Amino acid sequence: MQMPHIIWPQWLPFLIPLIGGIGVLLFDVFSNPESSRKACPAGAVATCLLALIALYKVFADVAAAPAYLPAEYPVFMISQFSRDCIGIILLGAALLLTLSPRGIAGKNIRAGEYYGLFLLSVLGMMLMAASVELLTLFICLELASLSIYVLIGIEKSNANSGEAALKYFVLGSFASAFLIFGAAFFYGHARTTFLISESHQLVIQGIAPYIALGLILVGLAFKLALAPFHLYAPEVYDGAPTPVSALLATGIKVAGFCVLAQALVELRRWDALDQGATWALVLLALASVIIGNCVALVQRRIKRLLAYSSIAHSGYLLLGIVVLSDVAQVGTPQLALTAISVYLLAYTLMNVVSFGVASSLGGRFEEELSNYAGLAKSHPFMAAALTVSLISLTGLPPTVGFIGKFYVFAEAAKTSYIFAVAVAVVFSVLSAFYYLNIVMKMYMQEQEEGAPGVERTLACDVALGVSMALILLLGIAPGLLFWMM
Amino acid sequence: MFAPYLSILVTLVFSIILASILLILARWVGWRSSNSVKSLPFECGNLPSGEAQKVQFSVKFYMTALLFLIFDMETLFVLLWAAAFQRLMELGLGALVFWEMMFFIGVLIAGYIYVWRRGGFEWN
Repeated sequence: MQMPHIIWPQWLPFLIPLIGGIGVLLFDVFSNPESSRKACPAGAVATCLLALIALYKVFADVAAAPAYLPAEYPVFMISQFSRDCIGIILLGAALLLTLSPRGIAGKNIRAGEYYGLFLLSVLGMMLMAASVELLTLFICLELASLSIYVLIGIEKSNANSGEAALKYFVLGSFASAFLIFGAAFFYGHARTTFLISESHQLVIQGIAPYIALGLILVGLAFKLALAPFHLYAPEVYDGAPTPVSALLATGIKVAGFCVLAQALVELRRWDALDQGATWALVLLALASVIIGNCVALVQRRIKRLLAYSSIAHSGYLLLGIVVLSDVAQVGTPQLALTAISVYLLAYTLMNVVSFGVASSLGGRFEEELSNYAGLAKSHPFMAAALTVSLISLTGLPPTVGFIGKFYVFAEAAKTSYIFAVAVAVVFSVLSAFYYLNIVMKMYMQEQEEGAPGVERTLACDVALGVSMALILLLGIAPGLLFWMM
Repeated sequence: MFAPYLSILVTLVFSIILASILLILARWVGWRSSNSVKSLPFECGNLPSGEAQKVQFSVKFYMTALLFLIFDMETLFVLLWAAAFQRLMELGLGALVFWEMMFFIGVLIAGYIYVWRRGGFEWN
């Protein structure tokens, strides 16, 4: 066995969130609550942005050949795709951290704990996205999940928050058990836990590889909130503090899809997939698209609606993943990977805005949809931001949501599973009903008498403004995406 | 290929069948009653007396157990690390492995400082 040799600069993008997270936590206990309430979010946002810059500096030329960390013992693979996914996670986290001070205001939450755990869970997601070894994947997933479990229930005086945390904890641990059981089967059959090993023996033979890949898929599908493993999502999103719901909807899903995509590309290279695996993915995608969109139609609470919408979007994204696993599909997976990363960026931006508006307005705007009536008059900027993100979620031009959906569907239509794309397109038309319903409420209905106004903060306006501008800009000039990535 | 696991499968199937039969029989044949004596806490057939009715543990014991677990895990890792250190040094990995452990202990110490500043060690 070759001995690993650590090149420290390569680990810099991952060390920054670790040091930042611990730093924020320790800063909080050594300073008074007032100053830590101001300094912790600033430090956390700066950490994410620094890590983002370091990521693109250190891994500037991975497009030619992916970087393996450590080189002799590759548990992490930074390809262009995983680098962009990590970048998306960091961008989303920076925006959500900017929105957080308003989101957790007046909720009796210690700043250091919130921002420290937030950064540590972002670190877990970053490492998870890059991991190509099953035990490493499990550890990173647990790092992300354990921090998130606490973040969901961090509002100690709120019973809903605690209930959501307990539900996610129990079900999430169960799903993790599936993942680790699948890893054990994988090891039993392939004699390695590495997904990129040269000595790969995972040939489809007998039932064991199906069990292994099936169990791993179930574990990941839970984290991605794919139907039929989605049942926790609406409850948990509704109970958690809104910026945390948004992190659940964006960060962990980006990481999960990145792992799934990288694993499938590698497994296909070793001829370890057949029609069965692809069918499983197609069925999951169809179930998510159909259940997500249909149940979203009857939701009355904003965060539950966004939860079902995110289930539907996971389904659309999975259609892109199907391309990677499709055996009949020839050629390089690069186009499909690009389509998926564009969609992930679009998905993150629009969810940041829609959860962000709810969290910036706060109070009753995090609850019933009917409270959004007449928002355009009282808060025109918030109404405009939410409208842009909802149009983008529907997938209409000129927004980045349209570009993402278009690329993913176009790629998926090249496979033999074109019927699944047809179903997804039909249901995505259906989704316009519940998305645009909110827009109609905001612009065409009158506000209730005596509803109190909400004070705005500059940080929220900046974060929402930047995300909204990106949604529109990248929708009008998608070429910028390829210049950026 | 799965022959060795056959016995596990048989056990599983039989235990499921047996458990369901027993549960269904108990439901079907047995009858249920509920009275005040039945809902008392059981204490060797006697009526519970004195303090036993309202035993409560202070949540501080829980905190202590939690802190103990952290250092327990640390000991576990450090012991194995110390045992393997000589061999790893011969392989030329001394510096790497040493700093890895310092890093690990550093992260734990950060947690320790956090608990100390939050008053986790104050009993009152």
